[in-house]
Amino acid sequence: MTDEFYVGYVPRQTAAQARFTRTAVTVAALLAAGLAWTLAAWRAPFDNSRFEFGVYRDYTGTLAAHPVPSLLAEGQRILLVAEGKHGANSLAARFDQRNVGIRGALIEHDGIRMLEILPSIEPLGGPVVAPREQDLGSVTLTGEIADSKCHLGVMNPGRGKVHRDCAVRCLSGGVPATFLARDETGARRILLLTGARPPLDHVAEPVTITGRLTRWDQLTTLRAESIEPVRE
Amino acid sequence: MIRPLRHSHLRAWCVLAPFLAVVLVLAASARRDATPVNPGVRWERLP
Amino acid sequence: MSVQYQAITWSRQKKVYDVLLASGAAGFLGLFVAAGAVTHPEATAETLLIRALGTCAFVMLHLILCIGPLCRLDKRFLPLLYNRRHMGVTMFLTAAAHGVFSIIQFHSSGDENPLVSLLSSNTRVNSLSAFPFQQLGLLALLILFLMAATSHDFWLHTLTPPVWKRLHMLVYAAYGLLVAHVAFGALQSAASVWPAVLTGAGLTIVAGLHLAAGIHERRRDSPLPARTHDGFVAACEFDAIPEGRATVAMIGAERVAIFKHEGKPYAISNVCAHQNGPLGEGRTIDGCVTCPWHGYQFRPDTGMSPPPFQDRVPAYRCRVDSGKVWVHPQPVRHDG
Repeated sequence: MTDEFYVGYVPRQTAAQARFTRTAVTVAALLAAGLAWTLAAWRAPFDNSRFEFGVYRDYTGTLAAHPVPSLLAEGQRILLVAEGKHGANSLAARFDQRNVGIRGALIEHDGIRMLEILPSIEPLGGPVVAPREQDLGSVTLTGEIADSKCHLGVMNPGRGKVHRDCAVRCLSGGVPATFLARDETGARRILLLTGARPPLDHVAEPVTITGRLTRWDQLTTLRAESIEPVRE
Repeated sequence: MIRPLRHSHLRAWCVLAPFLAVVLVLAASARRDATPVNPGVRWERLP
Repeated sequence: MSVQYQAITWSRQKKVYDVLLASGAAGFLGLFVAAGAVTHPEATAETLLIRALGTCAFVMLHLILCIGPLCRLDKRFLPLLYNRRHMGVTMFLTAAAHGVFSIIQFHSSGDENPLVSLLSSNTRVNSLSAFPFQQLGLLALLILFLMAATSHDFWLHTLTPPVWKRLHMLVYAAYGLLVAHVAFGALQSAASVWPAVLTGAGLTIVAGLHLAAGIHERRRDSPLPARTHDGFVAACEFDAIPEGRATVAMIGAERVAIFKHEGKPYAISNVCAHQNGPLGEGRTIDGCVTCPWHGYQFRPDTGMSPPPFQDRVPAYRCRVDSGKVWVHPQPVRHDG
């Protein structure tokens, strides 16, 4: 037996012990570094979305409170939500079908735009622009329900299992719902889910929705008639 | 008398190891794709 | 050492340990956020930070859990054990930061109190794919808090080592809860199956080391064939004990450390009064048996700590007869 013996309060370890300790610490550090890089690189999925956090710009157009709060500005329908996990329903109801000036931070994903608006809405004059709506017929689709604010870019990823509780909180706070589905080629499309409030117990998991698709300016809405969770 | 304490580590891991392995396998195999392909739907064909 | 609260005493090795620990944790977080920002430029900073903190705490917990059994299997790992409690507290703080940021991110600024939201947003306990994972993390965090709060020697003395050690075995429950937290959370929303495989590898290493060390300890606890004489039990060959070192023997149901000090045999309990460390794996320094875990010292003849310390371990009568050390299983009473 060697006389190597480690005592923590003695200032220095013996040379052989110090060598072993250094090797053990180096191996642990290299392992940790490898794990940090690998796990950071693996942990997907992320969407190609953006949120101009804290950057507020002025927008003018015709506000519509239904089916979800939005602003029709320069031919584009821009969705409106309030700060935090809150919808802009009560704010928008006071200015339904009126021209307004709004300050908001832009959220954008797949060409769908949304503003996180400040509470001060300025009524403006001028002719009110009517929406262009077109019925696209009845569909049955399987996909995932999320809250539009996070899904469109405030969080990334703003959907999926980890984000589930946040989506529940946002939907409960009146943020409009999105429905993400893939067609037979695998292409994803974000639909705006309207109608009754979605079942909070089944967000972020596959559900089958039967309803009517409508073109609403450049957006597509799905008015749900039935929502069924897909069995495990 | 710390023999029971010493042995309780082994007993704890005899239970924990298989239990956690089952939890991990069950959770990993319950992973599902929330956005499966919808047959018969083509976004470009919408009017 | 007496039962009163005193600040941690800093030795050079503790300082080196803590500098390495702090720079290791900070390096891990920095590297994770940098790697995330490079490989996923579209990810938001809060998401990367929450993931980095959670991953860092989970990796650190694996390291903490491996140190104990590694030291049982190879004494050269003991320097990692000496200050393990600081790593435990660092791990708790990292996990707590992960928890607090997650609650802010996912539950605050809504129509419900964030803590109520945490407990009530997902109640799908009957579903494997939707199983609530955040509550599992909260429960683990509460256990880790309890352990970090009672990590100081004051609590070790107040609660007594066996109770304190049992309390701190709750780390196994916390680990189990965190494996489930990761499995039902991050792993279920990961795009690939590899993170799950890696978590399984971590579990295999941690559980494998604990099982190996446990079996190793159990083997050493097999009782000796009862050869008695005058009430003394034959414990070991005297010549087999190196000077200043000990041989551990099972006397009755407990381990006794039989030291050779200045050519004579001494038998004291193998269980250190501080944290129940294995005294028989220590050696005599300045005439005192010195514990390999934290350097607590006891006189080989009486089992008492040198003054001013007042700790003691049971001491046993022993004698050498026909080359064997014979130990009396009844500890000697020392009054005063």
